[in-house]
Amino acid sequence: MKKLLAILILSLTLVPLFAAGSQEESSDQVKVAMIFPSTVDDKGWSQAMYESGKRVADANTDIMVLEKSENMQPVDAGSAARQYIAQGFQYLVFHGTQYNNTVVELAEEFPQVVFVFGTSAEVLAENVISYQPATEQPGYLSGIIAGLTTQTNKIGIVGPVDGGDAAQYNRGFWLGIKSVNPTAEIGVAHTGSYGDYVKAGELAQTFINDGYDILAGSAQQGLGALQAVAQFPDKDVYWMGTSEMQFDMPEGYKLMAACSYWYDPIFQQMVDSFKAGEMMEAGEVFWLTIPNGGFTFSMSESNPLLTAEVRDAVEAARVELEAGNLDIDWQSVSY
Amino acid sequence: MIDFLYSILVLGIPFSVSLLLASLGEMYNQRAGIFNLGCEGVMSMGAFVGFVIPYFLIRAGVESGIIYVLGIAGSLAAGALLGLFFGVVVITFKAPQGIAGIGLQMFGVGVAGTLFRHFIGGIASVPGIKPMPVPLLSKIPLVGNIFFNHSLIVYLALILVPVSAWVMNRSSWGLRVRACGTAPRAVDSVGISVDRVRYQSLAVGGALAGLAGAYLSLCQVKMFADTLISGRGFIAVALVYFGRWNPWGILWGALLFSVTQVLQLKIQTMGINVPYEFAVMLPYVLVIIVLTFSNKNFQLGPSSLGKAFDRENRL
Repeated sequence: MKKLLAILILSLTLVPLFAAGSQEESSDQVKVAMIFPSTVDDKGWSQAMYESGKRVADANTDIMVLEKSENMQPVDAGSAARQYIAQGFQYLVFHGTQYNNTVVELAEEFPQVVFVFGTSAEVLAENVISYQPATEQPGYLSGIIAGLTTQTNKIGIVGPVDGGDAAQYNRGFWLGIKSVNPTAEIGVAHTGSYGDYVKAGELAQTFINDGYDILAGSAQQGLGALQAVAQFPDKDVYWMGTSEMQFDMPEGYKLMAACSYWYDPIFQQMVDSFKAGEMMEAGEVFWLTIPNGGFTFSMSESNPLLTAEVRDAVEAARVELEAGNLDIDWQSVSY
Repeated sequence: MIDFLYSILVLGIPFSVSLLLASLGEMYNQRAGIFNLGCEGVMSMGAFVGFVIPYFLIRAGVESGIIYVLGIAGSLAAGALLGLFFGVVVITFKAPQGIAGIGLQMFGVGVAGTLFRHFIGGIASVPGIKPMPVPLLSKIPLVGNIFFNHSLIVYLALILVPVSAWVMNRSSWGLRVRACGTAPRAVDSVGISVDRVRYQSLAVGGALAGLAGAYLSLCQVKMFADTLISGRGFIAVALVYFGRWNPWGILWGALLFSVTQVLQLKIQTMGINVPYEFAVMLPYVLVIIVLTFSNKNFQLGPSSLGKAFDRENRL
């Protein structure tokens, strides 16, 4: 009986190890491996990057090979990257600020590989391409909406941590509110985590109980906040998100506006460089902005608070952004 | 001041429920002498099974409240099964409990995440279990909303505290469980199977941890993600020590942790000038401080905790 149980337990624990499948090797392709801090179906941060890569890979099926590792802690990311490099991957995408030190170390060790890293406005090495989403821009547009539609004049920011592009988004949001509603009371709080949905939900509920009616925030944890907002179906409380995919969720009716990240040009450049017989040029920062198509921004079609006046105000700001006339000095905001 | 206290308690109680249930479950394990660090994994599986049953039934067009009853039943069963699975490893095979517990944690989180991706494909949500106000009592000013306007699982969790205290201290099964945790050889000498009692307590503890997970996925956030539990299983283990293996002490610990959690969120939302990193740390620091000062009470714990029982070994 004991032997039988032992075999059963071994089978239960070992079978998943062999379920990963195998990778066919080929040197006449662009091989891109992506390292994610969450899953690629998180309806937010990681999914936006993965879908950009997949769109380009699907359009270039004979040229581009895409592999991914999800839920990677920085310490695991290094060993995953070494395995990809051993398999001949030429491009490694590290999608998260937490991988900074890993990228620096690997870039020095493997000069023949191009590392794509974000978010960062800093060039870490000659073989590193940093990407930096200018999240203050969609944050600013969301702030205009929040400032014009709040009924209680209290607006809350559900932050993950006060750093990286989350800090940019939140400060852009702040400036957007103040540009149209200088008297609005803005509450700012952080959960201390990017992926703790429960804590984000708890923070959102705390805001709502204190009379805040428009909430916003970035990172994958935002879904937890959206869920909390949706627990008040009859109350005029709404969420500003950083993923347009959230519109398609059952709770999407509580989403007032959202943006999406478009990383496609990064992957397209890999393919174009490959066709030209070379590696993509590294040692530079790739900026994602609304004017260069790095973001799309959309508003709910059905929310009655989004009047023509609100939509016009957002459109005017967008035009100014695209014309280069609107400088969002997010670094000036301290809270 | 009353408004401030009200706003903290009205959220602190429902937020404490997942910790309370998981800690009560862990208390059953530890009282029987089994140290189960895999609580996080069991919670994750409970959250997944509790979520996936209503999710598919809703897609099949079933709208009745029975879908959530089935979800809860599924989470209890999944938790109990994982508890028994852990029992096979640590009771029958006598594997070191600490290491096996870490393995169970990884196994539960990993399998729940993998099955979720396979069957559902991406982050999804369900309408979830709605609050069920207690007639008349929920209308009492302030107190009504704090205690009597929650989902059914909240009331169940609160009722489980005196029930568990009674089971542990007044029932013959509770006596056997406690004896297995302190003097397993004495239990064995009177013809009671230590292994059987330990298996039973692991099943009960696992079921409660599964329910704790389902509370998160069906009542609190109404969604599932593989990082949903985010360390709450480990906090639940710490709260058992905090509560000195006593249901009332565990209730106090879970409430203290959650109320402090809400307090730190309110400190931030009120704009009080404290770095948010310190605010976020507050509940954890508080638990460590209380644990440090309650160190002298550790002798109240099960003296055979974490030790495998071998009736053939008389040394």
